[in-house]
Amino acid sequence: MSEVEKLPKKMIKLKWNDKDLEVPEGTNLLGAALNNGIKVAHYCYHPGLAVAGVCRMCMVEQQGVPRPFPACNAVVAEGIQVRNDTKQIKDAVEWTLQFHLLNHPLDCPICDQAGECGLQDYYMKHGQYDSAMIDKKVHKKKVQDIGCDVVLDAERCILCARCTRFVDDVTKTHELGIVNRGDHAEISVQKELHNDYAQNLVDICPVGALTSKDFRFKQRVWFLEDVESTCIGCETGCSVKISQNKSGAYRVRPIVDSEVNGFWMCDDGRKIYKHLSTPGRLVGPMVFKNSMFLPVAESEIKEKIKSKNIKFILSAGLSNEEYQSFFKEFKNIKNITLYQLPKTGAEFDGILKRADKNCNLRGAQKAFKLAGADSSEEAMKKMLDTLTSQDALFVVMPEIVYDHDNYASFLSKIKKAGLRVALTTDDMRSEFSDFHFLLPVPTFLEKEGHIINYQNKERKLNKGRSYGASDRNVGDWAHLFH
Amino acid sequence: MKKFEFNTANKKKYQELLTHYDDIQSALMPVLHLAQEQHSWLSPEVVAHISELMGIPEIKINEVISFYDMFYDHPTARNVVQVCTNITCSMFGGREIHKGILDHFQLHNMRPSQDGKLYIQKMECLGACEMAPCMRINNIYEGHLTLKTAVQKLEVLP
Ligand code: SF4
Ligand code: SF4
Ligand code: FES
Ligand code: FES
Repeated sequence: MSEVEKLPKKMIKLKWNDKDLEVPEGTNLLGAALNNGIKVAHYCYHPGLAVAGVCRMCMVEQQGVPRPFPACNAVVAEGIQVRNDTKQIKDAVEWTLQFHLLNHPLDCPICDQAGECGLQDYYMKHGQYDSAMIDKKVHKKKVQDIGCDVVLDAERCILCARCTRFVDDVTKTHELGIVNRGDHAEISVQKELHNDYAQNLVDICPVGALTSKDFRFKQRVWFLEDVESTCIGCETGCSVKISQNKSGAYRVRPIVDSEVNGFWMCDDGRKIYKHLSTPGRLVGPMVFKNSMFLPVAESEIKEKIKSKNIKFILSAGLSNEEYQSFFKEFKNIKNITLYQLPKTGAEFDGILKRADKNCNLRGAQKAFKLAGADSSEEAMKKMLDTLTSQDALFVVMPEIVYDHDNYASFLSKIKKAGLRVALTTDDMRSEFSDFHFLLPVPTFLEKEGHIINYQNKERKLNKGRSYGASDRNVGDWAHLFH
Repeated sequence: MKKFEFNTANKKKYQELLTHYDDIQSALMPVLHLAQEQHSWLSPEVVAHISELMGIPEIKINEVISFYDMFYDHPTARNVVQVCTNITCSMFGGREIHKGILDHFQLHNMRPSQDGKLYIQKMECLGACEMAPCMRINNIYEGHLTLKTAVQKLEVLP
């Protein structure tokens, strides 16, 4: 945010129907209504994109202005009186919606958007209910795989141009456009999508024209509940919500957070739910025996580590609260270091994504410092180099791994420790075969806590449903040592 | 994929066209016409070249090409013939002339003849209603047609 934007703005008073509004100068007129909880039908307006004014759904009348006009194409002005509840406007919106639906295939029963579709929502309110259609519908290409796990159904599109504005203004990759004319106009893709933010297109498409290959047909949206949380995919720490129900977690979508991610999130972050509800999640402590992992009694682990020299390597993805409780519980242990995921990709891609994939490096460093422990990579390497058969090494595994080679080489170096225990949220059994024991710890969606992002801003992790043994966090395993 | 480039004369014309407008985007339509004059249609190679030349994303150029009937995103022929079938011309037999020409030369609308000589396109108003029914042969207007005179004019084309 620039200095100018931080200055408090002059407030403008206006009237929308019978409601008095007071909003900062320069606010979009439609935005002013929406921000104040007034429901106004609209398709093309999106607060994160440039104004297009093409769907004609947000029409209003203003006292002293001869003709109705789209509210999204105006900014607020002192004392104006705007209405969208008059007969004239209601008719206009009804007819506009009728036009939007002229060539719509009405395949809601097989459409993934059903339940969160702008057409369905507004039809219930503004629909004419009797079809006035005498001409044949224009058919367009359905189910087109346009890359980046996005599927396009051109027949369902209402040409709001949100998607084209997104690739023009946000990612600047310009893959999408509207080709042909009139009835035959349709969204077209130049070769295929090639950007790291493509799933946002699925979110902003107000209808079922753009759907996610990853999510399509897995769940009806009305069977899902959202848990608000923070993305653990990199140090940006975007605010997100995870959709889940008792059979699993299904998707991640951004929450508007003007300080961190604005309206968007990257496609890496969309995948952070994948390990939450895999069928192989640990259900309790496991031992590696006869080339497989089997359930084991805690007493057996206790016995094995008794005479050993305890060492810990933590991940940089725990919550502040977990670090605190860990250092409290393990205050007698001196050998504690931190494994940091290596940087991957560009330092900053100019939008949101950052090379540093450690979602709570700052929280970890703070906790280490407070406890007098060394969080540097050198300290971790030194620990790896000096491991002996007398050591029992506990490794808190990172929840998300990008650079698998680096990770494998890290794991190969722990073998010198006589006893190796992984604390993990995961079920990646084959990667764990160098460990003697596995202990389950909660995923980011199974605990309350906070992380600190690259701007030193604190963001919250919230507890949703659990799909594995998640009742003990890292500090809670301290009882093995007592 | 054969690379497209403006020939020397057209390179000059291109530079000249740019001077007519405040920003480069505005010159897109005349530049496309120029390219089409040279290459007879706007192939993906032509689009790629113009995109690079003018710094306009390919999809934006395709939006323009697909919007206008006089830009071709598929091969045409040595002679592009646009037969008007809009209201005035239709009242004077324009539709019959269009269909008659296709039948006579055994062609389909908007598909080049096998010998590469003719490409017939049904058009909306050509803005020459006073000479209805009319057609355009390579940008030259021919009016007051009958099917017979229309066919004659096409037969003598190179
Ligand atoms: S695909 Fe969706 S976002 Fe894009 S123009 Fe159509 S309706 Fe709008
Ligand atoms: S930018 Fe980082 S924090 Fe934001 S969604 Fe992507 S991976 Fe997650
Ligand atoms: S939201 Fe205003 S015209 Fe589309
Ligand atoms: S209708 Fe044919 S030129 Fe106008």
